[in-house]
Amino acid sequence: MPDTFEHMIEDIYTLEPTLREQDAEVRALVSSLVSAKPVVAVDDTFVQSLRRELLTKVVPAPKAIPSPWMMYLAPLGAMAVLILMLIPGYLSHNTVELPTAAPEIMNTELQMDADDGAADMNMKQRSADVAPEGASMMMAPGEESDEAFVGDMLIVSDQVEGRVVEVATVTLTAPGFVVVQADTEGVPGAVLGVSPMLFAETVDLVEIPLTSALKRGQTYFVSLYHDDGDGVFVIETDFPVFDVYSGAQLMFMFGVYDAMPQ
Amino acid sequence: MEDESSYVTKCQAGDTVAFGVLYDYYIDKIYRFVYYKTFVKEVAEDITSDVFHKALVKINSFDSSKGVFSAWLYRIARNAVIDYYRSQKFDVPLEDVFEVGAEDRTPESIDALSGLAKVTEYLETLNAKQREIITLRVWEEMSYQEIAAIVGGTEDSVKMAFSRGIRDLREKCGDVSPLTVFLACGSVAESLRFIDFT
Repeated sequence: MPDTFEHMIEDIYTLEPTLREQDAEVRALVSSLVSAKPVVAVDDTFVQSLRRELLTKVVPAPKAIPSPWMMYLAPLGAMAVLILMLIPGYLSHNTVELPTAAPEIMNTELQMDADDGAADMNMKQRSADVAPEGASMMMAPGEESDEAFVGDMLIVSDQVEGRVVEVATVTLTAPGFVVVQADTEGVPGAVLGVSPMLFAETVDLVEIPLTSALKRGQTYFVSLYHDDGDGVFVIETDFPVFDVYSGAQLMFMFGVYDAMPQ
Repeated sequence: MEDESSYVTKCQAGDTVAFGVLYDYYIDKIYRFVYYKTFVKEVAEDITSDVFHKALVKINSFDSSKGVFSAWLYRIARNAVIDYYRSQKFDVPLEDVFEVGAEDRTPESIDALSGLAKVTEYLETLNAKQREIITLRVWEEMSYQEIAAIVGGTEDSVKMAFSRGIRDLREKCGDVSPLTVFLACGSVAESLRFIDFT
């Protein structure tokens, strides 16, 4: 405890150097807070009763843990299947002669197919323009993805002073925005910056320009919002994203230094 | 907790004995965490029970690559407290329900009461996040890293919030002598009830 107490005091003075001049009062204050810690006695009857209740509860189906052997055999099996799939194609390529000239009618059909193919390519290109490469597809009902489901996620570190917030990683399950807000008495306040609309994807290094510069020693909030469909961020109508595990709004607090912390 | 990840993995495989080990380690901590936000035994017990039931049901959704088990469990507890007060339909901003039920508060509704302490007034003036961080650091002796994982923030932003909270508290205490603050703090456990939300 004394070690923790001294660490607390030093941490306070590191970030609030002026308090060092009031060392006696600060130590008394922190000491008083420590001493005021409520003595909480957990009712043992409650503890044991809850324990019995929990351990007799039917739990959900367990996650399957693959055996070590499966971890080695599965890739080998996959390779074998792949080889078996490729062999017929390889054999047919080497033994069957393809026609060198096609009948006129067939040429026309091929031309039409090629045109269709080009049209398809154009559509795909337009899709690529709208949804950047790597964007995960929105799931239609009943569709499955080969990718494991990843909920919305946000990774951000402390920032340096400036007019840009750099978010390390953003994962959105629907089109939306990354929003930076001022810390107003411990809760998100004024919106200082909003990312361009992002699509349902994982993006690294999202830069968010701010209307006012980050200040050293201040804390800020960054959060995710799903777009309500109009492509424009409006805090009153867009949907705040919630953490799938805790149910709390997905929000992160970060600090600002004049140089990157060690 | 030593070998915590192995117990969690066993839980996820359906090993209830492993869940019992985790329960035994965390029951006191979670109960205290909830109690510091409610200060009513029956409410704390109800919420704590809810927390562990949810943890058991959701154990397969815990992903160790996204964080540590303790932070996950504390976030469930934090949200359970929020849900409880929302279910009570308190007509106050949820960011800070420090005064929830204050008018209806009677000596019988609180576990131990002996008059409001001066420090209660001081802590009331802090914002909800500062109060929560100070409580977790000073009373639960959690590291800044642990607190950050629970409240959602970087370790250094939590340090800043803690330091600023102490600074604000010091300013508001004014010329109160250390002895006065000590005596006032001595009754905070008996009369203080604050519920912190973001």
